[in-house]
Amino acid sequence: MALQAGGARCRLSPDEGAISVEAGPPVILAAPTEAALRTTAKRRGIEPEGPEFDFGRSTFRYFILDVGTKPTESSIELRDADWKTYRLEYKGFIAWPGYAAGISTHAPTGLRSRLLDDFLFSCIERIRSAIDADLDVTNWDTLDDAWSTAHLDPEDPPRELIVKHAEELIATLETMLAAPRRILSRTRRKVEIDRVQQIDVACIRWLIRQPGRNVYEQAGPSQSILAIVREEKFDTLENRVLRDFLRRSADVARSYCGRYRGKQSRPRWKSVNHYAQRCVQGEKLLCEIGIGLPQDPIVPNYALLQNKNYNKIWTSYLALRRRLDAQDECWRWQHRLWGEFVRLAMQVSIRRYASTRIVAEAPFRIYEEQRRGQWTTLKGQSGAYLYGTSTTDQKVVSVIGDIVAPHARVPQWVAALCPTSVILLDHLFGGEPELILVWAMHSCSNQTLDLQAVADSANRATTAALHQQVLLGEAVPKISGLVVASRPSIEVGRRERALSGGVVALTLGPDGSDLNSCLAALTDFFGKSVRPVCSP
Amino acid sequence: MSTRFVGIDLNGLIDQACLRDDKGERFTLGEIPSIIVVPEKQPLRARQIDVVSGREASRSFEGRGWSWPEIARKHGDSRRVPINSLLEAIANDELVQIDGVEYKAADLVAAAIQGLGARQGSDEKCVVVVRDNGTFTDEVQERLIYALTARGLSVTLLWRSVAAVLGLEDDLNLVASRISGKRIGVISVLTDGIDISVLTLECRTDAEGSYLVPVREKQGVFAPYSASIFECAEQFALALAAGDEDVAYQLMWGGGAAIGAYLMGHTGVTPVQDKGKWRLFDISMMKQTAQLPILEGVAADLAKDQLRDIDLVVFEGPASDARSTNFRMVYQLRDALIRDGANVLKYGLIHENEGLAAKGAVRYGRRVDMDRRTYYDYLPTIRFAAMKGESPAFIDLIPSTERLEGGHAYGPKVFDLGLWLEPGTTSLTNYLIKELSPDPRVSKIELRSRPAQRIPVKVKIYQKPLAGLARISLIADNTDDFGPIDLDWGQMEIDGRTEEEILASIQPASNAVPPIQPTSCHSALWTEGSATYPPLVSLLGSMGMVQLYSRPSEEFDELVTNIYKRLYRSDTLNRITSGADPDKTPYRAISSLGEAPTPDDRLKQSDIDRLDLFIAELERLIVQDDITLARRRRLATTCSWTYSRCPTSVAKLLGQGIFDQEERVFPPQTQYQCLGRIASNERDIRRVFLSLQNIEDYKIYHIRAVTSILSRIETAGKCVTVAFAERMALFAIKRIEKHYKVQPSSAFISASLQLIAALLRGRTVNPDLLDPEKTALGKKAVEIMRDFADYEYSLPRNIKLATSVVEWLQKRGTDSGVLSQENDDEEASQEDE
Repeated sequence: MALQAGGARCRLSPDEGAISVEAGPPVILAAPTEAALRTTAKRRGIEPEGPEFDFGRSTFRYFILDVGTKPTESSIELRDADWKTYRLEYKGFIAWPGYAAGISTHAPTGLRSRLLDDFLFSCIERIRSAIDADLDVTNWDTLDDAWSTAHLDPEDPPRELIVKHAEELIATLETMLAAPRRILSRTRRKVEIDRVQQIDVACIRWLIRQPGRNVYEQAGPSQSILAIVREEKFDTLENRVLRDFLRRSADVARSYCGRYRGKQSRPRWKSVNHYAQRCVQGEKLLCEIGIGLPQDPIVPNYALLQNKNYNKIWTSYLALRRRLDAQDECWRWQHRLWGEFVRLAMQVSIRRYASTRIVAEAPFRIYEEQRRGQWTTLKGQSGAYLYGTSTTDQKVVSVIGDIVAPHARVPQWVAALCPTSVILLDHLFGGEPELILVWAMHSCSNQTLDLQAVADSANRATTAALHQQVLLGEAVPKISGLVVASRPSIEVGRRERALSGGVVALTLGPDGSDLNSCLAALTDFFGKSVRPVCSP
Repeated sequence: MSTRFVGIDLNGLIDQACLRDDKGERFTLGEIPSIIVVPEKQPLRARQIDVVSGREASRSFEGRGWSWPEIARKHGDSRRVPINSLLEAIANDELVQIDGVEYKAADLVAAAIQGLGARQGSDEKCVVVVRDNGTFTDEVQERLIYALTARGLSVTLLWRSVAAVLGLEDDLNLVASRISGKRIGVISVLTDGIDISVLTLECRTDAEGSYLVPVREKQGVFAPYSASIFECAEQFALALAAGDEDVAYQLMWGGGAAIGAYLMGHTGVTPVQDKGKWRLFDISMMKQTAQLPILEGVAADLAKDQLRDIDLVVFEGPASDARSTNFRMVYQLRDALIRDGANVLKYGLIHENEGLAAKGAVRYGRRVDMDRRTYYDYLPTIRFAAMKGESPAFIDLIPSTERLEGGHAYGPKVFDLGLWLEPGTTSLTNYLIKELSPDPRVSKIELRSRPAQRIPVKVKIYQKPLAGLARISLIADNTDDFGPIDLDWGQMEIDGRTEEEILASIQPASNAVPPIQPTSCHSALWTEGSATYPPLVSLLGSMGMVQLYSRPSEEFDELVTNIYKRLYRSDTLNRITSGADPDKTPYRAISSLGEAPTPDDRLKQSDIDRLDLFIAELERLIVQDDITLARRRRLATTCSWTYSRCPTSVAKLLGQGIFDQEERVFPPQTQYQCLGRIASNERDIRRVFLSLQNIEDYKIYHIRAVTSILSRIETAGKCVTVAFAERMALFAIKRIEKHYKVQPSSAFISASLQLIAALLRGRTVNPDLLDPEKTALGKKAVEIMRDFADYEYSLPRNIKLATSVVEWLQKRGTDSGVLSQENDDEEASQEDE
């Protein structure tokens, strides 16, 4: 069993104590398919990457390991079919800051972790923007449109769920906080005789037990007897949910404002900031009038389901919690999330190429909840485009986004290089088909990726694999490579492009103008890559 | 948030959806041809089926006919399904097979509608356009509405013709007052032919101004093409591909290049996979002539005939602006209409995103939201077979002139057609005719309980245009009698007969002939017993050991007596269950027609077989010479309580001396008492009646035998001759006249009264029998019975009986229980003694 992490390779042996690996780049494990690896801890996971491939005398498959979220999850233990265990220790592991869940018990882990969390959050928001709010459908046109410059106003912070809440719920919250729903409960309490309005059997029973010849004597020196009093009560389930919603919203809104502090003048930032303040005030108010916090699991009551305002809050509360849970899981599977983001970005940039004609595109849906870092249903070949305008340079570009199974046109040995996706170029007027292997690279540790090193590594691996095929006497297609590295923030002086042999390395970030300039770079790359073969 | 309106036109050629919300009105246009893609993994529940529709579906890989990737391969039952075929399947109620799994077409269409923008929610108004040519029947509506409702979608259906006119409201409303009252023809140019509808425009005014309301007075007609657009386009694609079927399939269904070129004259290149490799296919380079779908002969005449005397014409539909080379008939028709003076208003231009029908659907939703008049619709008439005066007729439940505002319901309306259920009715046969259905339908409904008295019944109807089948139910005045009986058109059987034939077959319910009163059987009379009477099944169970006696013995006699008592005794379920069951209908172990109850969990077939075995044993014994007359009488009487199940040899023995000249085996009293129960066929009945012709002085058992036969057997009335009836009636009248003052409580009087009533069954062949207005005997009978009824010492039950008989004599009878054999048990116990 071989392990690759951070450019270093090592072999895993069972029951030999923990092996220390770099936590930053994806930890990829190559294992024989019959090993049937699984993690020993319940919440930890291992997911296959790419199809099976022959290696030596066995069939192997790549697996990606999860990155822990809690400080205690800096190591992972695996178990194979023979019940042998393998233990890995992550070097430079960063735990999830947990800011978004409003869980104050998580100690802040520094700037980098917050940066990464914001980055992942932005990736999710970008992916979810493929949903057409009007028609409630997901498609490539919507995604393309949502990622276009017109919709990604660089001046404006992104339109995340909290922005939607800030815009849509503020009026509702004002109404609800002005008059929270109350219930009248009847309790028994000692009341002065002249103020008694209602008594019941229990009160009479109490009264007759009191010494005295008449009521006044029985009332004692305080001149009060047990009677029924009506009390207004605010501590209901719906108000508890409201308070929890305000608490979580305040945390998320403050975090949003903190992330986009540079855009304080924008109306969107202002509205979220105002929303955050209102949420804080509202939560304080509800706390003061004795409303507690709800206990999980929350079973919605009649008011939460049927009352117009409370139902709106309940729906938003569920959405917010889902999003926060998703963020937690996405931290664990951030490499897979990045892989998916790169696949979408790549396809959007290809279809944006000026002379592209869409031949076929796989429809996709966005899951309600992420599935181990993945949000879309896209599997296998996800697009086919006709490139070129003149009769001599036209070609069909096939995008094989997520290689989950062997593809008729992709050689099996390519799977051993573990690309995130493959692009196939078929020249319609002569010329051999070309393959572009794409790797999505992301670092989840304090160390940022060295773009040149990654490009060199990809180039070395591809060249070695090609040589091996040549030695075996196999016909090899023309192959080039593209590494798309994550860019959580724009860093001054950081290299944005690297070249090593036939491999180009670029960076990509999900935020506003950054995303668009990165997509333009990708479009440019594909425009050049697919052009040269037969062009004059 | 304001209401969001979605209008969907799912026409099979190109999906069109119009959306109107805060951001304004905009169109979503699919690609040609309109298809859906059914993804591989589907939930088990039909309402959760998720399909890809619209542009996404057209662009998807599934079933494109390519060699790779795997999902793009062409299969027999591909996941790429043309909506046109689904619309056909929904109309024919067929299942659609996709990759080995069967789906209901309605479920897939509902999923496609959802994919095109229909959403759940109170602030959503989705309207789907449907064809107005008679193919979208109530049943089809029902299927689609059911599938949509199952998905939680509240979708309104709208006629295409109405939607087209509403889609033009911006233009038409400007001249609303000037074109009010004019007739507008809507020609929808579709894939398989044209739908032609004629509407009248009415002008309305409200605070917003004047607007037009279309009135749909009749159903549109369909004029088919010589060949459908898809058939022609497939031929065209095959010609383009030079006979290569794989490439032709890709051109036709892969990207729709062929149909686009065929219909719209699109040109350009399209990539196809030929033997696993990409190839560019340049359609503009191809010089192919295509077969044209045209209106021929009858269809063309139909179109012209339908559009006679119209003032305005709207051309619309997904294929209405197909290139002239392909659709010269559209232009021919248009030119002809212009020549005739019609003002051709508009053509649906799909390439300009002007989906008139989808737009009209949105406008409809808005009108509903604004509480404006939408359109007026007509409802197909529904007719129900009932008595109209003296004769049966089909009565309109929805008058042909009824006009309804779209979205409003007709009813629930209750019709009192003067129907009632006779006491003892076990089933109802209903006939319905609907205007747009070719055949009448019939349903036979078994009633849960038999009414003990006459129950008036009313017919309730509820129908809404474009909301599926009408809800028709029969309801009783007193709901305790029985709940509403729904007449489900979908479940009713097609009756191949014509309207006239059905009417001829319905027996007029007359007030001159009292209805028969047969007694039914019930398994409880076999399985339940009491301290005095052990259950019949246990008695029969003990038969085995009694059979060991080769000759009748005391034990055997006791068994026969017990079984005899169980057979003659009638009982109600109410009494058996000590009031738990409300049914107060009297039942017997064997019905008065000789039927045994259907075996159930308590009564086994073997128990019924055992009774037959027992009767066979009695038959064997009865013919033996060495048994006493008393024992033989008991055996014969026991056999006779099985009515027509009585063995032939026993019946023959009982008829001996009456039907022939042989020596009597039984005294006449036993003979007639038994024959009154056994005689079931016409031959035996006639022989019994004939035997009574020569008797001078009738005994009470004679009278009861005749009454028993006539009150049991429906066809016995045919055997009553005028002479026989008058002879018997005269005797009965004289007896009443003679006895009622001397012996007012005599059993003879009630028997005579019932006899007269029973003889009136003869009116089925002789309508004037004992008619007081036409015969002296009838008149006399009425007079005597009135005197009897007025006599102060007459028994109240006899007075009631006499009053009923007088009503039946005067042909205004209402007491349908006049022939009920209430004193059967009494008679039987007398026999027993």
